[in-house]
Amino acid sequence: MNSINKYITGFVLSALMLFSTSCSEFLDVNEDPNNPVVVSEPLLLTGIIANFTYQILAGYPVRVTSTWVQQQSYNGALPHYGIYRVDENDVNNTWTYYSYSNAMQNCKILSEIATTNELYDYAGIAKIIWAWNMSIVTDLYGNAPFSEAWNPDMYPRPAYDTQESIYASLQTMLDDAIADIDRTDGLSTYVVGEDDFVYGGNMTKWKKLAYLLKARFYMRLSYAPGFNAVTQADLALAATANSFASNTDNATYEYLDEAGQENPWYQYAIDGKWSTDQQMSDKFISDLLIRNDPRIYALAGFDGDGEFSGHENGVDGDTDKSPIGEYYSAADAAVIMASYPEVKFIEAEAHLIKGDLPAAQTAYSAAVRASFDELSDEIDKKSADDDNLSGASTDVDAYLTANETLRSPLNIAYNQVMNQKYIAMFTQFEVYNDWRRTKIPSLSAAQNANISSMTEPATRFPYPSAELNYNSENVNAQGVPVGFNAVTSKVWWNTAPENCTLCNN
Amino acid sequence: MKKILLISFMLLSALINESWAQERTVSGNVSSKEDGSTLPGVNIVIKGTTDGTTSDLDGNYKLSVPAEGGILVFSFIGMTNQEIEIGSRSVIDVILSEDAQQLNEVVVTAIGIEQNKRTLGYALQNVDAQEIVNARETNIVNGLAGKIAGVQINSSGGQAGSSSRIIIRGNSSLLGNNQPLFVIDGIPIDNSQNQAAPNTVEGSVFNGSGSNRAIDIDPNVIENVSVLKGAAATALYGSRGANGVIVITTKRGSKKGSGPTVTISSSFGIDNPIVKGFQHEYLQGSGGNYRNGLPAGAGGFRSQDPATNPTGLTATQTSVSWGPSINRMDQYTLDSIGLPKIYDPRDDFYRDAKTLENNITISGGKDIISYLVSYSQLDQEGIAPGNEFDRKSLMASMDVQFSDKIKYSGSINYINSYNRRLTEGNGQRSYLYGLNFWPISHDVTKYLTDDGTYYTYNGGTFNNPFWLAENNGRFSTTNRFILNQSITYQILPWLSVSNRFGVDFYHDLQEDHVNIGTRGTADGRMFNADITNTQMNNDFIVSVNKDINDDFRISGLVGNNINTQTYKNDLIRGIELNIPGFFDISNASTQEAYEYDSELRNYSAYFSAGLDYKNMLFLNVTGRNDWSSSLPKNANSFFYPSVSVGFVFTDLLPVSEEIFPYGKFRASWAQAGNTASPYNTIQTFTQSAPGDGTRGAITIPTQGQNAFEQTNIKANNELVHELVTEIEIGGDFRFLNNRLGVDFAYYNRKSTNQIVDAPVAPSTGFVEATKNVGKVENKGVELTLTGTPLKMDNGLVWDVQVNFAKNKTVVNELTPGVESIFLYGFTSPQIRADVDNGYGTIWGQRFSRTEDGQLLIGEDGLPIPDDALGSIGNVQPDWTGGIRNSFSWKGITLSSLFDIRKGGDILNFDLYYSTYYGTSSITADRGSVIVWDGVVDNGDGTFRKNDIPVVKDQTYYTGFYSSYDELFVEDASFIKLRELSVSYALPSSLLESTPFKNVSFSVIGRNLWIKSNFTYWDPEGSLGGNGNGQGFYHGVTPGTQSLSFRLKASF
Repeated sequence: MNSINKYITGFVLSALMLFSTSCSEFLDVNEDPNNPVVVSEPLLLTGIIANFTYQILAGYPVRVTSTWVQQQSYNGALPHYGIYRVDENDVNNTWTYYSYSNAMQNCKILSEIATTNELYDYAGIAKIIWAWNMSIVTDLYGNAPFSEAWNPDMYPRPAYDTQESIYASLQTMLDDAIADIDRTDGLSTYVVGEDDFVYGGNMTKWKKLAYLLKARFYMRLSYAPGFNAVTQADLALAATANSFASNTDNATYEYLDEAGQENPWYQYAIDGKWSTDQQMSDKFISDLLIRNDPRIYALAGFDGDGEFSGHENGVDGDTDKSPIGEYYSAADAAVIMASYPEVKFIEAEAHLIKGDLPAAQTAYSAAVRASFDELSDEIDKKSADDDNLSGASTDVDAYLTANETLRSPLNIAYNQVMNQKYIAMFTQFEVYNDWRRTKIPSLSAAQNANISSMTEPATRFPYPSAELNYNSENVNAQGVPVGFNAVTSKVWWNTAPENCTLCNN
Repeated sequence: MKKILLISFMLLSALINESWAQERTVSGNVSSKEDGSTLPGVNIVIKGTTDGTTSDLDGNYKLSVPAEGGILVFSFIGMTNQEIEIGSRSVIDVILSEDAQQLNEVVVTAIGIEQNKRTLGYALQNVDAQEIVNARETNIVNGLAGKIAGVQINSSGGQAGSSSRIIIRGNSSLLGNNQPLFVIDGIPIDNSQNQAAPNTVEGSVFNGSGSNRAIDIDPNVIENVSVLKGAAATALYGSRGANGVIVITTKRGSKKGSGPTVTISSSFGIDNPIVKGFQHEYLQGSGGNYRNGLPAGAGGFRSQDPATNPTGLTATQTSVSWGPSINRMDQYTLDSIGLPKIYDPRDDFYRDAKTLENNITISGGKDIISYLVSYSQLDQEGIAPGNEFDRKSLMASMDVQFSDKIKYSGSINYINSYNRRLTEGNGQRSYLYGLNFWPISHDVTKYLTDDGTYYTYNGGTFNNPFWLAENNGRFSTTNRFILNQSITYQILPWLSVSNRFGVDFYHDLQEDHVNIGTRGTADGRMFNADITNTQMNNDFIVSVNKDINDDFRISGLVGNNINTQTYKNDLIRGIELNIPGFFDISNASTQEAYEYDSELRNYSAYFSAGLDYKNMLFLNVTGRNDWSSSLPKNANSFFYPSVSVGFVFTDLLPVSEEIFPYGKFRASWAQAGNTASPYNTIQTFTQSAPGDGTRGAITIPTQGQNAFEQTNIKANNELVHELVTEIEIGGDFRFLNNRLGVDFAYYNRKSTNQIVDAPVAPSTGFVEATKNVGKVENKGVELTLTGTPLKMDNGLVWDVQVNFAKNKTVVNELTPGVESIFLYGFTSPQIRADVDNGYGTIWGQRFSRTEDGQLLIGEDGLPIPDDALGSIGNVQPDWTGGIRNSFSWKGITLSSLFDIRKGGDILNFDLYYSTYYGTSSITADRGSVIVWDGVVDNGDGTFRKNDIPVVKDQTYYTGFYSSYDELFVEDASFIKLRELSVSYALPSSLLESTPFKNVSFSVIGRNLWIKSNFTYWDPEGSLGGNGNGQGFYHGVTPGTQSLSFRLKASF
């Protein structure tokens, strides 16, 4: 009996021991089979570029602000963002997903692993897009976490950096990016190539893009408190010298006419995967028609009557207005991320700030012609399709004759430059920044503005709900009203037209 | 039933040391007084010693006894002890009678242990086979509704094959699983609601949800369902039992030796939809003008005189029902087309759905073998055309007593379930969109023009539900095996080892068909998802049972459990189809593929030790250590203890057994807790998905390149298991010869260290982080009253059972800086877990109020919206209950079950739309005047009572009323006559000359009567299916009521 007992006890114990010794191996199945733990630089780069272009450069921030600058118009049931009704929930994805996690977090990871792996070109591109995205965040939301961001273990609730310090950091980051690209001591485990949808691995062009961003950011602060416009103009000119030299340097992302691969404007505004309510603004169409600007054939499509017509911003109704032009919105159209005309417009503006009208004229002329060069094929194609010539001019020469010469005094010339830049930069976020910085062109608030006292378009996004909920102390310290009431506040650099003598016309 | 339990109990029950001294032997046979059958496993002890034996399979025993004197004590659970003087006899046959006084109900507790309910220190409630079968519910979960105190059940909707949520003692886990573990004959089985497509591709909000997999269980094979509610009851299941356990015991054959018994049952039922909440007076149109919704050139008509409105006849049609009253048609229309015909689109669409269920069971056995084979076939139509649920279940079980020491028990169950559903939820593909907004003046049955073109009533936006039923569908075909193999070796009378191995395997082929031409998805699309789920489970148990002396008895076990769960889902999706009605992936222009795999392994060691004192005081201690694969290696081990005490104090009281035969107090303390879901401890990357919400997107790989990004949920390599600590006290009292019984329980269950993907400041680079956070407390009482108010000599018996439970869930803490977590829905409205407003808070657009809670009214006479979204209700009920009455008399049984839910809100988001479209009954009062009860701000800090009248016209409803979620929060209380059944069993005298042993007929009604203030009448429904985010009623098929007829015969 006792021996049986011992036998049993022994058996049970050894059975248990058997299990426990192999226990750690048995339980070692928690490595995720669905998601990799390590990925290579090319995979990250493609993800960053695809996300950033779709979600930011041709996504919500531009859709919304293009209606605010009255180039486009939203035709959904009121209220909507077209009348400045954007609340903390509406702007949450842009901050939370598109920017801080999808793009910038991965830029940080890519720059870190690429540096570790000595693949400096990848680090350079990551920093360029990181800086670019961060500029858009601060331009939309003002002060924002930067120095304490992307470090959850140390800073679970990151403090907000001032916009001034963010812009200083972005210049440093772009300098680092350029330095990375210039490095020759890296490895060539991977060479940037087809994973780069923008330049296909042409690092010289990436460097030029970095300089464009540098110039853009210097100009951004031209009228910022405590900054000197001439100093900023000089800095910008120094940067543009190293930037795009022609439209062939343009940063573009080409989409395909295949299900799930189409241009984001097409998916959003034309095909109706989500909505077809985004149309051309009545103001923009009218201005183009009044000035006989042939670029209307590229910028806008025909309405149902084969004419160009715009939708009055903020007015409810009429679906039959001109859509965004196919140059921008065809299924296989490219998204214009950054383009050569901007370089020349920055130069023109900088020269005007410095009082050098002739130099400005040269740059301005190049800018406007570059804009026409970019669109000329489309103008020819679409005007040829225009059976009844819907009142739009096709005479490029006449237009250039009428508009190519800057007029004095400087503030008139300045107005010309900014107005032309406004047209040339269609579908780029920079249009909204330039309008806020210079108040050119002059815009009044849309009809049915959500806040009835508004006299001009909204000047910023509210802070997003996720920060209000989960980083409330820091976001509340910024003193910006919550929800759509924020949209009449201004970000730090937005002082116009007070600090801008040339802006008064 | 009892007999089967007794036989099997034998193997675990107390056996006594065999006597070594041999003076003389006594032998004999023990049998039961009630049915004359022999009783195996009866304890036979020589009084005052530990010497004794047990009766064998045939009830025979043989025992060495002292040369002189001695008294034998015969004891058996459920029977009255008998003491017999040996005297000089060498053969002593004994007949034991059932003990009516003591409640010797044998119940199945954790790990399949059968115990006398008397010995338990925690609450446990049983539902027997008849109650399950009589529910006539396809889904076993629904069959439990109203029958167990503290168990809350909510059906997700009226489509056949819909899931149902079951919660015991409230929601303990913030975002984790809150539903109990299902165990069949000791084998845990899966009850997931499998969503094939990732949420980002096709979430339930836009599609509806499917079945919970417990729907595969065939009610016909269930002998008994035992519900283990508290942590002490489930402690031996460790982390997996943290939310309670539903222990299902299947029917087994009998070894009695009679020939096979064949039982056939057949039932036929009709389900009708419960539809309410629509207006029947106002026609399609706008501004009081009639528009008939026909396409231009196909009879399109608009009731405006062309003289005054020349474009009237060709004017754009509208989808809304803001036209004229059928009672006040304008003359122009009457002259032009006559009085439009009126339909009832909801009534025209839904059908009387037939259910046919047949079962054949063959069971029997002889000597050492018993067997049972059961085959059931269920064919259920849904009330929506095209919706069906079919189930075939074949179960075979066998028990073999190889020898006195070795017993084998095994079963295999094959189930084939097929569900075809219509798309529900938010969006044009949902048949409820077209149907709920369908104007009464348009014939829903007509959706093809004369030349066969598909059109719908408004020229474009919505789909015709009949067309959808014919062309689109969501399919799930499940093939499932549940295998159970158990062997017990009785090493010594007091010591046994057993091993139980089980596999639950299923393959679920889910398909989605969206045909070309579907409004909203004009190009069509499809997917096929292969889901396989495998759970393997092994328990190795060493049990001891020993009487130490007359007063003390110990029982205990040491066990080991290994459990693995693997899940695999391969989904291929095709978008933009080329050939209509051809749903093969080759027909898609673009294909997308998704894969999801998951594996969870758990290893455990556990013990249970019980000490009984004089069959009166029971102490039980358990402990279980789990090692889980989903936690970091250095923190994957956790120990859950429990202590429970039961005290049958009536044994000490000098009270008449007739008045107060039985009274027991129970108290317990226990800990349990969930482990993490797999893959939360290591940071990973995921394929990029550039897109805008769930609509526009770039499919990766794109242009020949793959793309990855870091997962935006921060992994946590310091994760620990969740912890639930529960205290329970209760009692079980019986009075008046057991004709009145009261069972109550109070519990307090605190959950901490919740594993939550908690939202974080997005500027950290992450959207959420997996954390151990939060404190949730569930407090409640459960009360069950049982009574027999009538027990007449003529055989009339009236039994009553009342269940009542009240649970309060308090979210005490989430994580620093987080007050609220999203559970389900849209940005607005949605369901949240919220520190201030509790678990299941409805969150949405609400009105501004003064500090004292009055509505603030604007100068236009309408309430002013609040700037921010906020709490507008909570879905948790105040209390739930059930009342069962049954009368039986000479083979006739009449039984009713009322199921009651009091309090709690439901968000009827359908009303948001149907009010806008003018079809909801709310809009039937259009044209009347309202003065909102509220105050108007005088602008100087004072308020005046609002007296501004507002006309409830089209603008009022479409512009104002339909914009505020707060207006669509409704009371979810109900009283349902869940079951009403009459059955008649033919008297055996009548059957004597026939081959039949039993023949019975039943008529069963379900939900024949409902009392509820819910606009749609039946407030059970949830777009999220059985998930944590309940109370979101939107695009959900209405509930049903049914009448079934059942015939059962055995021979």
